[in-house]
Order: sequence, then structure tokens, then C-alpha cells
Amino acid sequence: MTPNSLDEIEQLFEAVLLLPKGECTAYLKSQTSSKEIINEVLELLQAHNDLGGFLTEPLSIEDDFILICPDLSGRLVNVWQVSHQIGQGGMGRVYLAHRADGEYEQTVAFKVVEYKAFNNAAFLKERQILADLEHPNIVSLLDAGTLQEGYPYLIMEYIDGLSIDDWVKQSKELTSEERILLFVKLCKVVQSAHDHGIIHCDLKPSNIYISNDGALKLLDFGIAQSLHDVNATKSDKAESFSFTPEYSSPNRHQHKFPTIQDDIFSLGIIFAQLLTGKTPIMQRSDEIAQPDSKAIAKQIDDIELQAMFLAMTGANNSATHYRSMAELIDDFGFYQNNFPLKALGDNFTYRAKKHLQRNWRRWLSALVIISLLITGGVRHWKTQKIKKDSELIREILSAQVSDTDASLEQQSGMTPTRKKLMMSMVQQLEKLVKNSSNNIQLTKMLADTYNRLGVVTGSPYVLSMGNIPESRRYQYKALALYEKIQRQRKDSLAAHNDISRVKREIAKLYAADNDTKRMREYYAETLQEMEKAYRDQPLKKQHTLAIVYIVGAHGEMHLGNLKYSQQLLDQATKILQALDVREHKVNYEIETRFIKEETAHILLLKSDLNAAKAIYTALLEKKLKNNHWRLVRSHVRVNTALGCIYLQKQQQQIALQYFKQARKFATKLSNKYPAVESLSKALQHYETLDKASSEELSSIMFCTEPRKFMMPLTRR
Amino acid sequence: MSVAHNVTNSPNTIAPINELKDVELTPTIYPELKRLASYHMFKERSGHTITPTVLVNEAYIKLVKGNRLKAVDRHHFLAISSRCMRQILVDYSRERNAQKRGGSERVLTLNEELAESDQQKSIDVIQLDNALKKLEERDLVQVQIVELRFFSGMTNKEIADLLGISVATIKRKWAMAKAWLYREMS
Repeated sequence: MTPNSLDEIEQLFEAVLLLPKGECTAYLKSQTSSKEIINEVLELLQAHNDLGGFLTEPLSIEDDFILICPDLSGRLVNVWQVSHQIGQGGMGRVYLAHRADGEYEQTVAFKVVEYKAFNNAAFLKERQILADLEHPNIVSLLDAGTLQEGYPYLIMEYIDGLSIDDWVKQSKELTSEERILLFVKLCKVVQSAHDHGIIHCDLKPSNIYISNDGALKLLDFGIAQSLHDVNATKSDKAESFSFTPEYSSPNRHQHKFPTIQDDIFSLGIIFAQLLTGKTPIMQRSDEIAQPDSKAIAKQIDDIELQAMFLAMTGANNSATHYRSMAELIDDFGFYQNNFPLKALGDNFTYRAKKHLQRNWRRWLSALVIISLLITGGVRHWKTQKIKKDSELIREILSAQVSDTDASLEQQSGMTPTRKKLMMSMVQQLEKLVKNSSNNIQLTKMLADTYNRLGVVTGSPYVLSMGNIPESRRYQYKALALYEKIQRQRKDSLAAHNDISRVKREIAKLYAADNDTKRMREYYAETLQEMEKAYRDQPLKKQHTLAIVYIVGAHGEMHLGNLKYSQQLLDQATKILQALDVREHKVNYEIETRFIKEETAHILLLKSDLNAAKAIYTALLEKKLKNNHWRLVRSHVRVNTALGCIYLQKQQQQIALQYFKQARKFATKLSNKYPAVESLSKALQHYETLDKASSEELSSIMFCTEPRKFMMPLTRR
Repeated sequence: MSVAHNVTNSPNTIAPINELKDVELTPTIYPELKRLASYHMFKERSGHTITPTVLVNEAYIKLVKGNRLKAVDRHHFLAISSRCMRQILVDYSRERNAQKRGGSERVLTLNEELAESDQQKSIDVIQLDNALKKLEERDLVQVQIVELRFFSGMTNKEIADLLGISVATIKRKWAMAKAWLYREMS
């Protein structure tokens, strides 16, 4: 069309606007002969009649202009030189930036908040929480401010690495155990944020990075809310939050206020993705599709992992829905150690199956015993009826616990499981005791279990988790309970024994902390306790007290309190001399021998070589009346001590004879107990004996540190 | 307005839009408008409506009266500003659409506000922009009127003053442009 015809159209268009509808065509035909122009004008007229409010109101910025910050590439903001955009999230874009003031080299992520319903107060609070958190697996906040355009910005640690899903994809060879371990690690990070009152609200693979040096990093606490806030407002409706449909719970899809369980839900979806390598299956209910938990669950083959996934997403029922990260992490621990999962609830058959998986050896032997009982001795079983039922049940339970614990102790790496077992026992018993606080048997069971829990948590001389302060807390609990029992049964010897045992344990814990003062306080109390208990008993019944003295003497000797150690030994001797020898055959021999040996050790430590040598030699002259392992071990020590004494006297040949003698007994012991690792390990020391020089002998046999071969007297 | 009397160019000789694109003023005015827009968005949040006219006026005061731009007549400034506003809003729409599509395969956090305002809005700014580009080939003045009215919120009288055309002509061209764009876009 020519410019002229365009002008013509415009003129005609204006004219027909004023005409009644029916007259337009006739009018146009009277004005022009061009059918093209007539059609154009009529079409425009039709459009004019149809357009309603089209373009009538100027574009209003409030409606349509949602924040887009100008491209910041190349801009210098404060000390940060922005380089280029590297990502875009729910709250805005992320740029790579460098520190530009020459202070030091630093590459950072520069994050601009482009979000209309942005709450500045919440943002400021979040900045503070992030700064306070300082968690090595949560990206740290380095700086923050406001651009001249009004957009807030955050400077975060820049993570050079891969998002968790890409990382897993890249490391194809990961086993499912490794995937689970990675996930548990992630859970622990989230847990510590929860402990600080922060919910992430937007957990998804692209917010979880594995840096090039292998560290797990959680980013984008973009919309994290303070837990305390949720409690304070109690509002059911969130103002307006961003969320990622693929990883968001139904609760978040309904715009309800975020909770811990929303994070757990997101973790569930991530968990499934890590296991299966597949992105979440979605279902469309209304406009925004939601993750389809039940369909996703079907992709997970392992029944237990599937149950845990469902318990994370709360898809099956509310009873198994995890309420905290701790519950979730616990279940992973149970999963790894074949304990029943919380996620699978109270299904008896399932629990029994797990029990069998854990303890199949014990069950096998139990079956053998039961069949023997049935064939051979039903009569014997009946005599048990004499005992009161409740007493019997308690005994069976206690035996069950100590059996289970003992058998678990034999297996390597079971210490955490033992602790969990004790922990859940304690929780159950606490409930029972609460309901019947006067039941001494229950209270005693609880105290025993606390004592056991304490030992496995951190007792220094046995297999334990090594957490001394926590262990001490449990021992104090046990102590309080034993003392309560003692108040109810004033004359109970057993109660005194229990108290003494716990205090001794507490003393050991303080010793491990190098808190000698408290250690001795508790040991002194142990002694008092025992003395109180046995004061009115005849000497010949004070055998247990004698052992306490000997143990105390040994401890004091190790601390270097040789004089006090000797006093304790004298006390023990006094008791032992009064004992009826026929009644305590083996023990008498062992304990009197130990007292002598200990006395000799003290003399050796005092460098009174001749006096020590006399006692040691006398000990060897007595032939061993039995082969109890404690006596054999004593022979190893005494021969070693004598060897060291002769070595110091420069009589190497005689020294070597004693050392070989020590080796003989050690070998004998190791052959008898082949499963005990420490014994076979000790033999290695003697291997180079024959060819060693005097100095070498001294170091092989620990002559320079005699306390090392003076083994602890306590028996595990 | 007194500024209007300082006009150096005759209104009828206003530069054609294609040339305006490359005018050196645009790089100064565009970011300033954008900055002002976002600044207002942050300062006055919910319930507050900010009109493009206010932004353009503010930008004028800041840039011209603040002597950051020299010797720019107001008409010229407003014409460029309207063009900038159009560009800003088109840029925004593009970016928003990109965001909605998710850009790459990466899952993005969905911004509920985006989803909601999307439904209410009936005008597709990008589609309008494309239609305007076609209209440019027919009638540049119509395009300018659309920019000044729709993207900058000016009245017919203001536009008439600015372009040196009668209000009647503005009305006619505006009606014509609307009908043409509507047909083009539907």
C-alpha cells in the first residue's frame, strides 16, 4: 500500500467511526472504488468494535513491572568486581565476582535479590543467623548490602564443584551404601541448621554442592525462616514464599507456614533421586504439579529404604512420619545395623525378623539348648516355678540385655549399636519407672542400664564410644538411682556394691580426663562406701573390700602415689590373712600373689632394686598350682621385671634368660586363647629378643617405662 | 511547563524512531529509568501504583536538571524515555518468560507472585512489541503515540504538545493504531 492509501484508510476509518453500523459499507463504496481499501477499513472497524479495554489504560508498573535488576556484569560494588552471571534462583540472579581492593584474592558468588514480596526484616535476621551458624558445610556469608537500585545483595563463598545430583551421576560407581552415607551426611548438616532454628524451605539438588575438594556444601538459605518466628506468630498461612514444585511438600504447595517436616519431605525426594538417579515423578492435581510420593516410592527396590522414603514424605501414615531430623538419622543408624526401623512401625513379625538377622548365632545356640531341655530335663524347668513370676521376668530380661550386649561386644564395630540398644532400653525403662516409682526392681534395672550405657559411651578401659563427659552424665544418673534404692533398703549390701561400682567408674572417667583431684575424691568415696558396707562384717567376709583395696593400690601406683598405694595393700593383706583359705582357694592364691607382686612393683618404681628382686624371685619359686590365666600373666610380668633388673645390673645374659621365660609364658597364654588379639600382639615384642643389644632389649621389654608392663589388675 | 518553551527543534522534525534507537542519550536514560523503577518498587511495596509518567519525570529532573545531560529538549527526552520504557518492559517480559520456562533443564524455584500476576495480565508485551515493529513500517507517528500513551501514560493533550500535532489527529491515530494492533495480535 502506498502512503497515500494509508492516509486514505485513516481518513475513512475516522469517518465510519461516527456512522451508524448499517451505513458504513455504502458510505465507503461512495468514497472509493478500491475493494482493498474498503475491506481494510471494515476490518479495522470490526477490530475497533471488539477491542474492549485493549490498551486503554497505560501499562501500570505495579501490576507488571516485577523486579529485574539491570545486568551487573562488569560493575564494581563496594569492593566486589562483578564478572558474569552464573545462575538464577528463586530470589534473583547470581554472578561471579572478585575482591577488587587488592586486599587478597577471593572469588565469590554475588547474589542479587530480585523478589517483590521481599521481607527486609526477615532478610536481615537471616543474614545474622547465617553469620552465626559458621557451619563448615553451609556456605558462609561474607558481606551484604544494598545496590543503588535498591536491590539487596549477598556475597557468599563461591563453591567450585558440582550439584549433588550431577556429582552422583558423574561418579557412576557409587554403591548404594555410599549414596546413603552421602545422604546421611547431608541430613546431619540440615539437622544442625534445625538446631539453630533455621528451616531451609527450599532444599533441592541444585542447592547442594560437592566442591572440587570433596566437601558437601549447602547453599541458598534463600527463604529460611526462623523456627522461633513460626512459633511466635502461629500463623497458618505463609505470606508468600518461593518454592520448587518438584521438591516441595503438599504443605508448601498449600502455602502453609514452613515446618521442619517440609525440609524432611524435600530430603526424601532428594534421597529417592540419589538412589534411583531419576528426577522426581510429578502428578498434576491443580495448576502446579506436585511430586508423586507413592509413584516415586515404587522406584525404590529395598523395602526398608522405601519405608524410610515414605516416612520422610509422610505419604503412608502420620504414625511413622518422621518428626525430626534426629528420628530420620536414627533410622539410618538402625538400618545400617539391622535394627528395626521406626519407619516400619510396630510390625511384630518384621521386628522378630530383624532380631533374628542380628543375632542368628545366638538364636541357633538357643535352639540347641531348648531342644536339649525338651528331651532331657523338663523336670529342671519346673523347679524354676518356685521363683515369683515378676522376679523371674526381671531376671530373664536382665539376662537378655546383658547377653545381647555381651554378644554384640564380641563383634567389631558394634559399639554404636550397643549404645543405641542401651539408649532405647533407658527410654523404655524411664517410662515404666515413672509409672511405678516405688518398684525397686525396675529402678535397679534402670540404674544397671544407665551404668551399662555409661560404660559403652565412654569408659576408658573397654570398647566404648570415647565420649567421657556424656558417659559421666549416665553414670551420675545411675548413681542417683542406686542411692535411691539404698535409701529404701538401708542394709542392702548389694546397694553398697552398686554405688561403689559406679563411683569407681566415675573415678576412672575423671582419671581419663586427667582430673586427678576428682578422681581421688570418687575413689575415696568408693572406699568409704565399701568400708561402710563391710564394717560390721567379720574380716573373713570382707573379700570384696580387699579387691577394692588392691585395685585402688594399683591405681595409686600408676599415679606415682607409692606410699598410699602400699597402705592400701597392707589393708588388703590384713583381710586376706583372715580369710578361710579352704573357702577361697583360687582367689586367695591369686590375690595374695598380686599383693606381693604389687609390693615388688612399688619397690622397683622406688628404684630399690634388691628388695624388689627378692620378692619377685620368691614369687617365681612357688610353683603354679593352677593355670588360671591371671596367674600365667603374673609370671610374664614378674619374669620381665627380673630381666629388667638384671639388665640394669649389666648382667645381660641372665636378663635374657628371664625375658625368654616371659616369652614362654606369653606364648603358652596365647596358644590357650588364640582369639584374644592383645595376647598374640604382645608376642610380636619378643620376636627379636635373641639378637637384640642391651639397649634394644631395654626398649623391647619396656624396662625404661616399667608401668607399661605392670598390666592393670582389673579384669574386663 | 516552562521547559517546553526552550524547544530548539521544531516538534515536526522529531527524529524518526529508527534513528532514535541509536541516539546517544538512550544509554544514559535507559538505566536511569530502570533504576528508578526498581527503586520505587522496593520503597513502596504492596498497593502502590507507580506510573511510567512519574518515572519519566523523575528521570528528567535528575538527568537534565541535574546537568548530567546537556542541551536536551524536553520533547526529545520524553520521546526517548517512552521508547526506553517500552524496551524495559519488553526486556522484563522476555526475562520473565525465560524464567517461567525454566531456562535450562535446571529446576528453578517457582515464584508464586510471577504465576499469579501472569494470569491477571491479558496483554502480552512481547507480542505487542512485535506488532509495533510491523506498524512502524506503516506509520511511525502511530507507534510513537502508542509508546507515549501506553508505555509512558501520557495524555492526548501532552502528546499533542510533544509532537506538535492537533489533539484531534492524535485521537484519530490512536484509535486507528489500537484497531490495527488488535487485529494484528488476534
